[in-house]
Amino acid sequence: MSPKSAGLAVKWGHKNPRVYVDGIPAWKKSGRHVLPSIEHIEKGNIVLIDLRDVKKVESGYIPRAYTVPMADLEDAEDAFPKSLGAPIYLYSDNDADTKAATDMIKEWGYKKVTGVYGALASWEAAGKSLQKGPALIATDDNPINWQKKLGPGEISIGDFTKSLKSDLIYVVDARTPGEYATGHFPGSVSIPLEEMKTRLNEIPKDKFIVVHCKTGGRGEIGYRILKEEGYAVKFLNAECECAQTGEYEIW
Amino acid sequence: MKKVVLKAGLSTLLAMNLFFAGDIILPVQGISFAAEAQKAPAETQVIKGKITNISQKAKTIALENKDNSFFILKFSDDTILKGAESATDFDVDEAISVHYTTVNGENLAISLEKAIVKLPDGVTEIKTDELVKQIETNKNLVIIDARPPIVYAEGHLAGAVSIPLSKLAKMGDDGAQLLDKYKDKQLVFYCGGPT
Repeated sequence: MSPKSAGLAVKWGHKNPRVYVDGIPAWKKSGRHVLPSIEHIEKGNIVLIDLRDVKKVESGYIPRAYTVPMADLEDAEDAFPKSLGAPIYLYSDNDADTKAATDMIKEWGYKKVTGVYGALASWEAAGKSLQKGPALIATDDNPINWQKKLGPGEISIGDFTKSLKSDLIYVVDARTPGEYATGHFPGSVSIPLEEMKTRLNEIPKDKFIVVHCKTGGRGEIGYRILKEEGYAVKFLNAECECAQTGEYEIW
Repeated sequence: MKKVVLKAGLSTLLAMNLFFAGDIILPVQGISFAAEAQKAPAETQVIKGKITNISQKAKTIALENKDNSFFILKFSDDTILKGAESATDFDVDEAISVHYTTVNGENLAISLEKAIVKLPDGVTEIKTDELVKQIETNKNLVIIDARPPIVYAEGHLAGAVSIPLSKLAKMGDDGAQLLDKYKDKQLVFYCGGPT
């Protein structure tokens, strides 16, 4: 989109506008940071974590931040949200801690981890005040709470679990037959994504369809195929693991 | 009865494939595709669009067009890759050009090719190292984030101003006003990479 913006700038008389074609991915790859907006830190659907010691935190922290002191981070994995897609923002007064914590949490599998360098200073520079008093310390007994906002076509994990018990809902497993054989959701039907277009006649038009796979990727494509064909359909945008006993875990 | 309906659905989809192949509008202007000159065999069709999903396991790609219509195709180990070493080099949000054939209602990719960026006249590219130097030394520099506001909010270059392309383009020539105050500045636009 940036080349087009620059083209408009030329049209409107700006001299030699330039385009950083490689953009954000290259910027991050070069080891440099990006900054979230203050509004996003304040109100966005994110997890905010303060890595400083409790004593420091209690003298002033960004409101709603969970406290996970750097020294305790390694043991705090279970206090983190179940969803590996949760957007996690970390800050500290020590850049080395922010960097190390970002790397560790990414290592756990979280996909959207951002270190916010200079967060406290930016917060105050924006005219916002720090909160004093007891820290909101994340522990196994007080885990970090984060709920995903559903995108178009997505079904929540709770509704999906309920749908497994309903006769009105037809659950399509878009994984390979091999994956299906190692364990699947009770009542789900195996229609691998690559066969979906040629096996539409097996999918009832008079039921509500839910498509899932292992991570949500194939599920979303399946959802798009079926929606195009006029089905009432949703997909599970989450990771799951099914055992042969019919037990399962979704996160 | 049901069968007839389904058949109609499929043939409509096939007809749409043919329609897509004719004049595809690129999702992003200012991007063109290399190797356009290559003549494809008669039954081969071409589609250009942005990857919205890619599954390596099911060897399936979903593409999206400017008008948000979408297109599913499958690839195989025989699919020719251009501008990429393996199919794993193709990512979501990348613009690609695909030669494909349709067999039994399924679209099979013959070749997948990454789009290359072509800048409009009067615009030059800037690389990371030079941009860093400019940020440090050029007081006259204004960096503009062309992405949607929500993406800007999640993380942007320090000091960058948010002026989404969608906003600039929608306002027609009134969009000029958004840039007017930077008339004497060196503008640098960026987005989420060459998509």
